Amino acid sequence: MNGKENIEEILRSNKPQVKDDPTFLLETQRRMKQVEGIKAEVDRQRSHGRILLIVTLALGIAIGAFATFIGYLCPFNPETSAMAGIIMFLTTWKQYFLILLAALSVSLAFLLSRSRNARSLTFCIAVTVITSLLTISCNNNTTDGATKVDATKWDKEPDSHFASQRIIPLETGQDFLMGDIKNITTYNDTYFILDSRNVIFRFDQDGRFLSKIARQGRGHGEYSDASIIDVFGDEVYVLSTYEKRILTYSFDGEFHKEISLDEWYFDMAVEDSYILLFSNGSNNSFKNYVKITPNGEILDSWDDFSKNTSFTLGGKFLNKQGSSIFYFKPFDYRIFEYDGNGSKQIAEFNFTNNERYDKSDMEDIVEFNDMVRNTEYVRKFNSAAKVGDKLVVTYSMYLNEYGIKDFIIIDDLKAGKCYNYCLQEQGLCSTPFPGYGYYLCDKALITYTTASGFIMANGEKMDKETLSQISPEGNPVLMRFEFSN
Amino acid sequence: MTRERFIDLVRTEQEPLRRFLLGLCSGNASLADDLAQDALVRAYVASGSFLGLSRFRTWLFRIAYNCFIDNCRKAAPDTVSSESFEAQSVLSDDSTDDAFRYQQLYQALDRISDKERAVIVLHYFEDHDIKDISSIMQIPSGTVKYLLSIGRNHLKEHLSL
Repeated sequence: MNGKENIEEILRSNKPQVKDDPTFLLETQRRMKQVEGIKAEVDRQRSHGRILLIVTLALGIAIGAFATFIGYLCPFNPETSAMAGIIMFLTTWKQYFLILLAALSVSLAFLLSRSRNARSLTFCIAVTVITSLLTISCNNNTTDGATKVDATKWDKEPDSHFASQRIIPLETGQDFLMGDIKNITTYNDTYFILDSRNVIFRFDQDGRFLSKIARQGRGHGEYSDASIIDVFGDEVYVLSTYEKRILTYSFDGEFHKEISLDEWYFDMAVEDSYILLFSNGSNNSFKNYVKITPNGEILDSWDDFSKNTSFTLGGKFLNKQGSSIFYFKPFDYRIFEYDGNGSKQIAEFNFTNNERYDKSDMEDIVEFNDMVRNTEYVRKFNSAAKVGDKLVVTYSMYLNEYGIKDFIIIDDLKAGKCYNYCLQEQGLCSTPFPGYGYYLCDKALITYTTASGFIMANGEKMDKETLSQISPEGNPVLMRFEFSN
Repeated sequence: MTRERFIDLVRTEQEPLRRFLLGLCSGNASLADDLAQDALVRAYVASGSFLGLSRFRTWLFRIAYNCFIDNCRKAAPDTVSSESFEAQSVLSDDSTDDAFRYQQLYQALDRISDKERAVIVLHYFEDHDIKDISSIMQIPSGTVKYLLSIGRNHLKEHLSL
């Protein structure tokens, strides 16, 4: 007998004998009964889970269909709908939400630490840390010290805020006839004006023509489109939005250099060591504000406004005053100041419960009042800056049959009073409006109108000497209002 | 499957099942019965999924084998062996006491690996063929043959044959 057969024989002949145990089956049945209860409960929970899942899916589909239907009936406009208010509210109070979330996470982490659930505890600690970091980062653009401006009062004597008024008819000539004005900037008592044909004109403080830059074209040192101009040192900077570049020239039009950009930018402010650019994209891939070196290298970029709504163009988004640049979002009613190192919110405007607009000689005063007081009418900020001790904002409202009306807010921080009035209805320093654009430069409000429009509105009041300088077919007329100290 | 129907089926299968587990547990009868009851309860809960594609016994043994594996994973590595019999004598034909008679065999079974033991027990104690063992342990037939061969060799060494 070999080894294999031997071991097989041993195994087969030594099969274990199981003793008959009557309690075995009874105990098994007892266990089965216990399990049946659990099994029934599990089956019931599964069944409920399935029903709940089906109901949730059906409800989700129904809500989605309903939302689509509502969206079809009432198209969503983020800038005017109630959603804009909600978004603004959430944006304004996000720090407090995050602090609340951090507090909840800490509480949860504390509770879980007692139950020793290590994974959940780790998760809560991570949430707490992330939330804290977010909260801290949200405070980078601080709102500390921001003025809460109550812009609900109307001022009856706006002229007191201005030290002087100047009418500047721009010199007209065969070689320097202007189209519509696109942009005005001032530098050392000189006016630089970009017109609709993309020519840049330079006038002295009395409106006398000095030089022009007309480099439209596709060649070296030429631009086919100019959106915004700014001046620093002895250079004129021309931003060409759609060509994604900035070109610089001497005051006489000699080309200096070109700076390539990565995106479409719609406004530009040039300072000594940097250029601040503004883009209106709601695209999350780039920021609204980008700071670059004079060579085009990006130094910094940030957003101060919700990305949910895009900017509506029209207006001067970056306003230089002194060494600061002031910026805003047209429908956001907040003003930020950038000092070269960082930005902070300096003011927030409140228009709710506007008082009645009391202008006795106005027709339909009641209806106009109701419209002006109605907060659902959107106020669109056009320019804003802090001028000395005054915070100045120009904005417009579309008031049905009254059309677009321009308003100005002057918040006298020294006196602690805020003034708000309608430019077209009250005029400014005895000058009937309208102007066609509002620029806050050199501690002054600069606006302009066409020569013929100016004669029509002011002809009877103007002295003959001034009138003689203005030709109805000539260049536009600037109006400069110096703010009082 | 109703409880009554299940109990009827189990009534005939309980003895082989307990013997199988007794062999796997190297003679620890209380652990073997506990595992057998656990396996039967699991089988009852899962009885809805028994499609009759294999024999009821094969299906039941597969569950029992999984219960045994789970128990081995949960228990300390030497739980079973510590409760095994300590035998000194050589296998003898004139042994009259059953417990003593199996002592050496259980001791040797305890010293081989779980898989080898399972294959040996199924083949020699329960007379299952290679295909059945393959199905119960869910391993290929070739592996079963290999385990059977080395299991036998190991047993021979431990039994000093």
